[in-house]
Amino acid sequence: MEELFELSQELARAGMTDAQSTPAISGAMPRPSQVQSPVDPIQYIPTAHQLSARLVAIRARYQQKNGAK
Amino acid sequence: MFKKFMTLLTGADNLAASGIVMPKLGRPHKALTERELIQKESEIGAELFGQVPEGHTRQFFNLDQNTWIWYEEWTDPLTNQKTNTTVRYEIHPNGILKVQEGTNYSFLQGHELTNFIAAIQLYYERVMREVYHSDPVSGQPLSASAV
Repeated sequence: MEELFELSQELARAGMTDAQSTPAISGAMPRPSQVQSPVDPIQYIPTAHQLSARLVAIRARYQQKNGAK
Repeated sequence: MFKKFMTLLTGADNLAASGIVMPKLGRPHKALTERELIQKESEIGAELFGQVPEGHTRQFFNLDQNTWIWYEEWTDPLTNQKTNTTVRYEIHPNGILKVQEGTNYSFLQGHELTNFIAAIQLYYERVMREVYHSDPVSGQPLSASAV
């Protein structure tokens, strides 16, 4: 029993006890800020529409300006 | 290939016979038709998803206010047959619908959705600058020094 105690003391000094390993394990877990919440598809619709509309508009403007059919 | 593809998409038949000539890229100051502009855009679109595998042809472009197209063509090394796939992305009020022949229609979700949005943002930025020489934010022509 005493040997076990001494061993545990040695491990503690070497930083290898369970208490020491816990931070490493928790470090591997995603932090709350890294947890991805489900993506709401609707939030992207205005962006997608806006970009598409701008492209259609600039194409039309280009053709108008350059006289393309 | 692009002519055939556009014919399939738009329903217009025999582009060559109708007098439409596909553009030679790099020819400056030529008024381009809508199809030609889309082709130029699609060449930028093809670069957005990393290197195109050898033997593949890829197109990615905005077709209209609600539609984006992915087209990829390649030769199967085993059968030596040409294969292609077309994916249509439709913008709906409740999401972006992925329409692909032979599969169920589905709304984009998760990473596929965020990747698609990132791709069209990049497409818009590059196309505005490189095809239309315009500022992506203001829409105004870029100054000569910035081009």
